[in-house]
Parts: sequence; structure tokens; C-alpha cells
Amino acid sequence: MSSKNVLFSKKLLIPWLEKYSQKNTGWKLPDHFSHVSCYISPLSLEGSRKWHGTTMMSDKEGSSAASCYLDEKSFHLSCQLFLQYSSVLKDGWSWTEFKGVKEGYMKKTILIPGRLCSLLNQFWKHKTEDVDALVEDQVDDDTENQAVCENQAVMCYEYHVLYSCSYQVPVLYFRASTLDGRLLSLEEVWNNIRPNYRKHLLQGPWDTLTQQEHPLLGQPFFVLHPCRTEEFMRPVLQMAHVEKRKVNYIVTWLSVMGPMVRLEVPLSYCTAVAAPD
Amino acid sequence: MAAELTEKGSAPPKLQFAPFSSALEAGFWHQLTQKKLNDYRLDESPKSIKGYYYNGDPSGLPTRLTLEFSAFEIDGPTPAHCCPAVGTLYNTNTLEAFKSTDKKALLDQVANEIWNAIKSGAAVEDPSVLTRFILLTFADLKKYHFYYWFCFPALCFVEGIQLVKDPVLLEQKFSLKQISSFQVAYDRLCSSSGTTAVPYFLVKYSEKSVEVASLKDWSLFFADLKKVTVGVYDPCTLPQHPGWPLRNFLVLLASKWGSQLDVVEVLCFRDRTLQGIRSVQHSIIFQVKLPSLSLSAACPKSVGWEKNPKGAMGPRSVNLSECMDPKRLAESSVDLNLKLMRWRLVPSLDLDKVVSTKCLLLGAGTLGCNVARTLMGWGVRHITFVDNAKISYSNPVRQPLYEFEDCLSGGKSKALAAVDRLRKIFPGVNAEGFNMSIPMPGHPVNFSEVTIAQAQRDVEQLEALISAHDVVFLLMDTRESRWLPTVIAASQRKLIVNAALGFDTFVVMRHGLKKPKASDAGDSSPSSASSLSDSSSSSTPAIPGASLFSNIPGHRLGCYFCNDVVAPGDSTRDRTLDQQCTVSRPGLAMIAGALAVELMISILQHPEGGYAVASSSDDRMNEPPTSLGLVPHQIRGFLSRFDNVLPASLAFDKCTACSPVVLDHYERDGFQFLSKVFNSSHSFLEDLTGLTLLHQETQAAERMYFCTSLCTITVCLLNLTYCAFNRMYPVQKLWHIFRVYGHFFPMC
Repeated sequence: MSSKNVLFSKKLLIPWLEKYSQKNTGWKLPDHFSHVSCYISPLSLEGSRKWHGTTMMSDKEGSSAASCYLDEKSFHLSCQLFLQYSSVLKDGWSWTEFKGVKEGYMKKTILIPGRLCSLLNQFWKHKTEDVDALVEDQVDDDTENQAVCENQAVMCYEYHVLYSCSYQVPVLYFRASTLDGRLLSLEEVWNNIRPNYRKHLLQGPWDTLTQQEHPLLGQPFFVLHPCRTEEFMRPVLQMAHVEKRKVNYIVTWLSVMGPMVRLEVPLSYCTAVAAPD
Repeated sequence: MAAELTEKGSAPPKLQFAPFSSALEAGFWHQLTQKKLNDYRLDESPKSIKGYYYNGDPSGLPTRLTLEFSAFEIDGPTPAHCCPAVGTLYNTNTLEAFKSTDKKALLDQVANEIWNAIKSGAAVEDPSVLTRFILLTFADLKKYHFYYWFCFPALCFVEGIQLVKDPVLLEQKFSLKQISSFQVAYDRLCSSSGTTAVPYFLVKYSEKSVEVASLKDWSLFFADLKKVTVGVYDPCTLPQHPGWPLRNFLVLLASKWGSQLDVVEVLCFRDRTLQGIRSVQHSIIFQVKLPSLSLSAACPKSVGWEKNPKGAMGPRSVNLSECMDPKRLAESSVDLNLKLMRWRLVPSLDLDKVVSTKCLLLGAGTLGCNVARTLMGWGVRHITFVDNAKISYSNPVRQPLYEFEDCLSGGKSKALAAVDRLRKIFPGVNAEGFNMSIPMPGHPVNFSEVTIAQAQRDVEQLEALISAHDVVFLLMDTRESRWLPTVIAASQRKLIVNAALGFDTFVVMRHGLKKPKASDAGDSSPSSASSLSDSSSSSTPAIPGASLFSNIPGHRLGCYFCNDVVAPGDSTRDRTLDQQCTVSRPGLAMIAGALAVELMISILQHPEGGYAVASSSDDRMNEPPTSLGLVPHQIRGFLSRFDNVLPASLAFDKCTACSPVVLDHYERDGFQFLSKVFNSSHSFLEDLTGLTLLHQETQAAERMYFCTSLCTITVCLLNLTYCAFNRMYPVQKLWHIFRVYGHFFPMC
């Protein structure tokens, strides 16, 4: 390894490591750094992303270490296996193929009885001004005779799992709406998270939350940005690699990301869904 | 209902149904918008659409009919284990048409179709035709308001339906063996009919087993009609009530076989899987007595329009501008991006303060363009430009708000073109442009009545503009044009952020913000530099590394003119570095413009705002005063060295712009005073502030101060040597020394 390469790598690595070591005070910068620097291959900038991947296999294990990334083919295979088991569980996941392009995404919709107060204010705020004037008396109403009343605030959470070519990881898109299709704002989504959970979330992947257009639908969605996915996945994959276990990337990833946004992944997925060969 | 049940003794209870709630996914409205814009346009004819309902909800959720973006693909797949429902969309072009549509007629029409299907037997062949819906919409695509009214037509028995046996959970009626046998039988029926959900079916059970069959097999399946059990795929989760789809099915049963049937048992089939464990035990089962209904009769009365959220018979509406209006989307995305900065990195960041700040940009050239763009990045919405120039061919490459086209036929006015571009970049911006000149000292205005009147109007306009804004940016290319706004803003106690460029050096600074006028009397006006420097250094000995000029509070900081010993005048004779001319390294304006905005942001984040104590380079190691870091007085940059220093300096009591004597004259005599300044050479201001006297004293005492200058140089050298190991200090110390003695060595 030439000294030039080490220098180049330091320049790129140090800010990232500093940031990381600040967050996890247990990780000391010098150790980590020396660890990394001896494994840096003379890669171009193109490789700088892979390069985080190579940092991961810096254990003395050897060269056949698992990658922290997921190529597109493995993404589709992992999704297929995931969906197969989901249909057994009737867990609600389905694959939506997008017309024209051969891309698609895994989708699930769940409904959550809302906290009425948190949504009702919103309802009055967002209603259009003249709808009350449209009430009609002539239209028959048989509440008294044969209909029973159900009045309920419900939130609909829609989750889409897509593949990000640029980050080579799956990406979780989601949006939440009321039953009339109005999207909840980030504040409303946040307010619907249990307070004792919030603190934890702020440290986790929640801080990568952002709003983007759905790449296939072109509609605004919230996204847990893939920029740190690899960081969350590394310890898990590393452990699995050490233990010579094969894991389904989608299952592992979704069980890390999902709970942050009210998406539960039943434990049985972990044992029942295999990794693609 | 509860009241009705308690009265059981008097009258047999009637069966009540849970109506569908309409559930529209956001994608449906997006798709409707696309269809309206691209396919339907003004076509109001009815369109077929498709929804679905599901019987696997956890309890607590309302009975829903869901429409998602795929609703317009009538032949598209239905989600697994869901039942499809076919509907008709009536999308009107106007709200008037929406209102005046005869809802009863629409309902009657569909009810008749259902009745005909029952009469013809088509409903027995394919009972899914019993579950229909109507959707009446008006899409106001200017406002992204959608008005809609759902109808789920149900044919009625006039006298209602009598419950013979109250609903009980299936597990109370069936043994575990029967339940699992039922599950298997139902699944087999699904697979034999090639679907994953069957809306209506027949059930036959003994203690050992349960059999199911499709409706069309009625006569084969039921040998005797003493006791008939039917199954309905039930989207309701209430323990006492079936969902809406049962209604038309009962009408079908009554009209087809009612005369032969005494009592019908109904199994409301609910089938949910939680954590991989399937349950149909919570299905409900009850018995009803069907009223008689003749097939030859006319179509029964029908109901089905959905109530609005208030419980009245009226349409619903939803305002989707936030997620569909591109302008609103841009606004919310801009805000969200900034909020994320707070979430992730700077939790105490006060964004409201930033976003609500009204910024006046004097100058819309290289600096003005870059300042405006950075302000937009910070979400600042209120941006006003003042400039009197037109865009010339050399501008667009350096001034990012202009294009080649803007230079043609004489060039557009910069102030106005900049506003247009800002709006194009971000429609949510509240931008305004003023194509006007700023009167300058040494540039006479007294040529004629007209020019005097014009100057007076310009001054008034500028006063009004400064008064209407929170922060004034001085971004002009001459030194003297900065004088008038400096005076006005100092008098009005408005924060000024000033940026000026040399060839490869720049200064970005905030002007000292004078204390509010009421407290002026108590506070001594800035006295001479040396005496103040003594007091400030002696009052803060505890802070390590505090230099001679640390800890200057905001109200004692100098302005752009405080460092100078010549009054602003015609710039052709001017020589100071930072306003020689506008030839500068191209990156410099972007750096300085960005720094000017970032300085403003840091000032706004300080609890004391413009009164914040000036941070200096020494503070780089200390605890920063704001969540964003330091709040310096000046940032002086040297591009040749790629280095910035953060000097701070006191207000100069002989300053030609912000000294008390100038402000007093301005506040007392107004335009009269100002016109004197405009029309005179710089000696007028220099006489007024005592600079002339200072010059004379300096010359007389030049020899006397020679020693001092020697000392200065010695100190410089010492500092340079002493701090050789610390790259931060020398430049800064030198600067301080220059600043202390600078007044006495104008040529230094």
C-alpha cells in the first residue's frame, strides 16, 4: 500500500469516523482508524462506497467476507422469499410491478385506529370552506332503521420497499393518511408515536427521515434515507458472517427500520425466510 | 341501538348493518387528477372503477371500502384475500354540477340494476354484482380540493329484518373441529373458483364436518330447506352487527327462496391472521326471519349515501394542496429540509426566527445574487432587492440570478430580474425589487430642483424600506453608496450585514447595533478606542486567551466606516483595499455572500441578536455562544492564503457614519443634512466628526509617535516569532495591532 493511498483515504475517512466516534463514545478513533487504514485498497472514488464495505471485513477473517450491500438481483430474490412467507402469514405484503418499467416494489398497508384528538383538529384545519353548505335533506338516511353508526378516526400507513441503485440497499418509503386520502404531516406522524419511544427513535434511523418523491409513483413520500443503512446493517451482517449464518437482507433490514415507523415484522420471518443462494 | 336491545321484551329486535366507510388512499386522488387532466378532461360520463373490502381487520377498525390508485384499472388484480366491488365514478366539471346532480336518481339507477340482476338470476350466478358503489366527485384542481360523495346502494325491506337468534361468535356455536373443517372447506371453495375470497356462499354442517358451496349450487347443496345457512364475507368487526354486503344478499334470498324458507342462518365470515395465526372463531352467526318479497314487485326502496364526518347527509371534501400543489410541495419540502437540520444536528435551532426575517438586499450584483440564493436555502421568504443597474453581458457568468437573455436589448433591470428569477426558483418567496439609486456622499444632487426632489424621494424610499425590514445587507460595489444606509439603519437600530470584496480579499461584518434610543442617555457613547480597549481588557482577565479586543458587546461594535479615517467620497480617488473595483477572483463573491448570510443566521440564533458580544478568533477553542457557533464582528478573508480571521473592533467616536454627531445631525435635520453630505466633498463629514482635527494632530505629532510605531513593529515581530507554532495567532495579533494604532498611521 502506497503512502499516497493512505493519505487519500484518511482525508475521506476522518470526518466520517469523527462523526461516528462522537456518537458512539465507546468507539475510539485511533483504533478504528488504524484498523481501517491497513485494509484500504487502491480504489478510485467510484470505489469509495464499496470501501465502507471493505472496512467491514477488516477482521482477520479473510477475503471471503460478506458485503453490507445488496445487489439488485439479490434484492428481488430476497423480496420473493419474503413475500412467499408473507402470503403464508397473510401479513399483507404484496409486490407491485410497475407498468412499462420492469421495476417494482413491495407494498403493505396497515390501518391504525387514530387518536381522535390528534386528527380532529386537523380535520377542521384542512376541510374546505364550503362543504357544510352541501348537506342535502332529500337524500334518504336509514340510520334509525337498519344502519348502525361507526365513527372512528383511522390512520392508514402505507409502506413501500424499493431498491436504491445508488446506495445498493433497500429503501423504505412510507406515507400516512386519513381515510379521505389526506397525507399526514411529519408532525402528525411524529405525534402518533408513543412518547417513550421517541427518544430512542431520535438516535436511530429516524434521523435519516426525509421527504422525497416516490421514484415510480411520483408522489410525495417519507423516506428513511439509505445513506446510513449500511451503517446499521454492518454489525448484524458482520455477526452473521462470523457465526457463518446466512441472513435474508430484507428481513433483517426491515426488522431494524420498520418499528421506527410503526411497521412490525413478526419474529417468525427471521427463522422462516431463507437467504437467496 | 343499545336502547332497542333492552326493549327486547316488547318487540323482537331488528337486524342492523354497519355501513361502509369510504377509504381513499392518497394515490387514488393522484390518479384521478391524472385521469382528469389527461383522459377525461371535460368528459362527465360515468366511468367504471373498482374498490375492495377486507374481512381480516383487527377489531376496532371501521368497515371500509377502499379505493387506491389502481381503482381505475377495472380488470386489474384485487389484493389477495379481498373482495372486489365494482363502482361507477361520476366526475363533474363544476361544483354546481356536483351539487345539482340528482343523487336519488343515481342511487335508484344502480338499485334497479341490482334488482334486475336478482330477478334475472344473474346475481345467483355471480353474486358479486350485489356489492356496488357510486362515487360522485368534483376535483378542483386549481386549489387541489376534492369533493366526493360515496353511495353503497342497499335494497331495503320496508319493515326491517327480524332477528330470531342474536349474533354469537362462531366459537360459541362451532366446535374446534367444525371450525377447522369450515376453514378447509372455504379454502377449497376459493381455490376451486380461482380466487382468494368468495363474497357469498352456502354452508351445511353436522357435528363432524362443515361443507360450503357456491350460491349457484343451491339446489344441489340443500336437500331440504328447513334450515338453511348462508355465509357472507364480512368486512365488519363489530360483534353484534354484520357489514353492509349482507343487505342485498338477504334481499336476493328473500326474493328467490323466501317463500320456502322460514328461518335463515347467517354466518358472517371474518378471517384474520395475526402473527401468522389464523382465526375465524370471531366470525359471528345468527338467525333471521326473512320478510317476503315478490320478484314481480317493483324495485324496493334503496338507501346508501354516506354521511359526512359530522353525521349529516352530505358530501365530504378533502384539501390535498399540501401533497399535490407543486408550489406547496416546494414550500413544505424546503421547510422540511431545514427542520431535518434541527432534528438531526442542531436541536436548538430556531428556524422560525430565520424564516420570518425580512431581508433588504442593497445591491443585486455578484454579492446580491449569492446572498439571495443562500437566504433562500435557509428558507427566508421575504427578500427585497434595491439596485439601479441593468444586466450587462459580463454579468450572468458571475451573477447566478441572470441569464444571457436578460442582457439583450439594453438589459433588464437587475432588481426586477432578480425578483423574477427568485420566484422561478421558488414560488413561495415573497420578493420585491426596487430599481432605484442610493444617494452618495460626494455625488452632488443639487443640479436642479428635479434632481434634489429625486434624491429626497430616494432617501425617503430607502428609509421606508429599511424600516420595513429586519436585516439590511450592504452589497454594493462602492464604498460611498454604503454610507446612507449605514446612517439610516444605525438611526433605526436595524441590523446591518455588510460584505465587500477586494481582488482576493473580502470583509463580511455586522455593524454595531446601537442601544435602543430610550436608554441612550445612560450609556456613554463610544469613547476613544484606547480607553475602551483598556476597560474591556481589564474587565475580563479571567478568560484565558482573551485579547485586547475580546468581549466587545454588540452595541459597541464599529461599522464599516469606523475603521477609516477618511470620509466616503467619490470613489475614483478612493484607495482602500476592499473597494478598489469590482475585479475580484470569481469565487470570492460566493464565499463572501454565503458568509454574510451565515453570519446573519448566527446572529439571529444568539439570544441577544445584534447585541451579541463579538466572538474573535480566540474564541474558536471556547464554548460557542450559539448552537451554530461563533458570532463574530468581522470575517476578513484572504483567498491567496485560503484563510479567514475574525477581528472585532469598537465603534469609533469620530466615525463618519455611525458616530453620535452624525446620527444627531441626521435625526435632527434629515434630508437637509444629508443633502449637504451628498453635495460636499469629504471635508464636510471630516470636519463634522473631528477627523480633520485628528489629521492635523497626527501630522503635528508624527515625530512624537515615531516611538510608538517602533514599538508596534517590535510587538509584531515578537508576536510572529512567539506564535510561530500556532498558525492562528500571528495574523490576528497583527490585525489587532494595526487596529489599535491604525488611526494614527493611516498609511499603515
